[in-house]
Amino acid sequence: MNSWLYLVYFSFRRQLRPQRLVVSFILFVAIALLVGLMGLTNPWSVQGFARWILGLPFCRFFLPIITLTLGAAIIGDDREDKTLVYLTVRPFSRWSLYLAKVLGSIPLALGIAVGAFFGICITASICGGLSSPLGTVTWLFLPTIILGTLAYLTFFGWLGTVFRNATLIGIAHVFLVELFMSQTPGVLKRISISFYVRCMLYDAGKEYGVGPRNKVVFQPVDGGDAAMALIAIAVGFLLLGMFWFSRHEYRDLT
Amino acid sequence: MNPVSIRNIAKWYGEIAGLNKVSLELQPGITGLVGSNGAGKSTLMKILTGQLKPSCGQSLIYGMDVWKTPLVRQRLGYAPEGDTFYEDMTVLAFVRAMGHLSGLGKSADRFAREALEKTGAIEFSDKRLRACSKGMRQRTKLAQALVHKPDILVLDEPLSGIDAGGRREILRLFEELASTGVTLIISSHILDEIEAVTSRIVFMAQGQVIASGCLTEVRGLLKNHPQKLLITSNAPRKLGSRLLESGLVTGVVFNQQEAGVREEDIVLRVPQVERFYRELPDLVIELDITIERLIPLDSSAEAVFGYLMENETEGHE
Repeated sequence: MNSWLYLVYFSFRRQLRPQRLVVSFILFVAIALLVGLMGLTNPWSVQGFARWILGLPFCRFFLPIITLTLGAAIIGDDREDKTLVYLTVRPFSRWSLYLAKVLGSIPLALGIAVGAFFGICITASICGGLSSPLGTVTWLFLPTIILGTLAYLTFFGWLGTVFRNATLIGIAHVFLVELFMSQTPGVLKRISISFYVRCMLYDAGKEYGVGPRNKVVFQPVDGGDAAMALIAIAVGFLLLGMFWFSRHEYRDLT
Repeated sequence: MNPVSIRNIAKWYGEIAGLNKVSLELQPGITGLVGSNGAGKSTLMKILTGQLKPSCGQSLIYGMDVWKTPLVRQRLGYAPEGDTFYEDMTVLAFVRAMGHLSGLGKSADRFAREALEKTGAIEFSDKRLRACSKGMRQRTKLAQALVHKPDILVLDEPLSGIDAGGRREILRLFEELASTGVTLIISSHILDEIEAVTSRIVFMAQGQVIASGCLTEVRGLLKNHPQKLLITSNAPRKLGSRLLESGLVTGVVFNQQEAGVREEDIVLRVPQVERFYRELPDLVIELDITIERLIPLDSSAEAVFGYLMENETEGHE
């Protein structure tokens, strides 16, 4: 058990690569600048902030991209660097090895996502005079950010176990599915994670008038259902990744 | 119970057989794994260490299936052939981390230092792996395999990149480990060095074990390649003709132009080596001559491997 816990810690340490943190920081600065500039010209309302910042660049671009960089690296980094061999010869079952690596990545993914979320909320308060008290807005949307992060992370983690070029496939997924397809009318958008993230977001902020621009076109699901869907996606892809990794042989380990 | 049992293992990559019906029983001590590229050595080692699942058959470590029972890998150390590491870590941090992952807990640091000491890597233990030379990296790789004091060590080309002096040290370490009951499985292209530490060799070609056992036994089984023996005596012609007469040799060559062969030497082709050694003393007494030296010329692992490969090629033709 101790060695497995060490593997969780070791995986966390391996994820702390400066270049990864730099990418997250640049994206955060870009969104924070956008929040600041927009807030200076037109003060923020909770509704506008949730729709134009959280619903768009944050949940459909920032979250997928940072979880992609971390998720695809869960197995992908070791596979690419050919260091996976040092882990697979240790006394862990394959599924537990994968689980440890995912658990080791969660604190960093949540840290970056929640940290950036707090950061843009503060920026909106300072630069745009967000009408509602900062704390209220933050706690209102925090569960959405957490569940969205977990769902994206486990999805991209699974992608990394299946495909060697998971990052490229992940980027294509972010642009085609999470950004483009989630805009289309009809039920096809329900295959995107961002759809459930936005449903949860809209539901959480409904008392502040937060919601989709066109409810008929968007066809949202209930906030509770969206939360359940995100939990199911997170747990489902975690289990799928564990199953896949336990069955899959990597001939290119060394 | 043998530490390592490989039972009827086959490994298919699509339509290509990486390994074909390989069975081996390995005991404590050093076993050399010899074969050309693509012979199946690395596939066998990967199956043995639980990285690949055999298409059929079983790979057992102390009676437990290594693919199905991950805990048994605690008794296993593996140094892969590839020169890949967590480059940003220091040598000590890397070996210590591998110790933690092998279940050493708080003792990981002490065990890591011990392993680095043994492999001669302690002097550069604070160096980052990306700044280490090939030889340093090889030693580090060995240290991470040794760190948890495993009962079985699987080492893929452990001597490549290490200078001659370093090789001697590492080979001494292998002998030391073998003397404490560790089972070492070493693959190497440098057959002379394998031969220096063990006579137990498994020869592989085209995914199959073509011969295994003690080198002299394997050599003795190669009936179609009579053994070449160099003999130096005070009466080479007399001895040569008597040996031919007795049927102990099928050929005698005088003045063979070969390195290390002197004018008074004769090179014999001996079909039955055991009979030759048994009957030679009587013959020497009968002829009243003295034998100065007797050296087998083609019993080295390299020569045996060459003959085995010839046999394989002829068999396939």
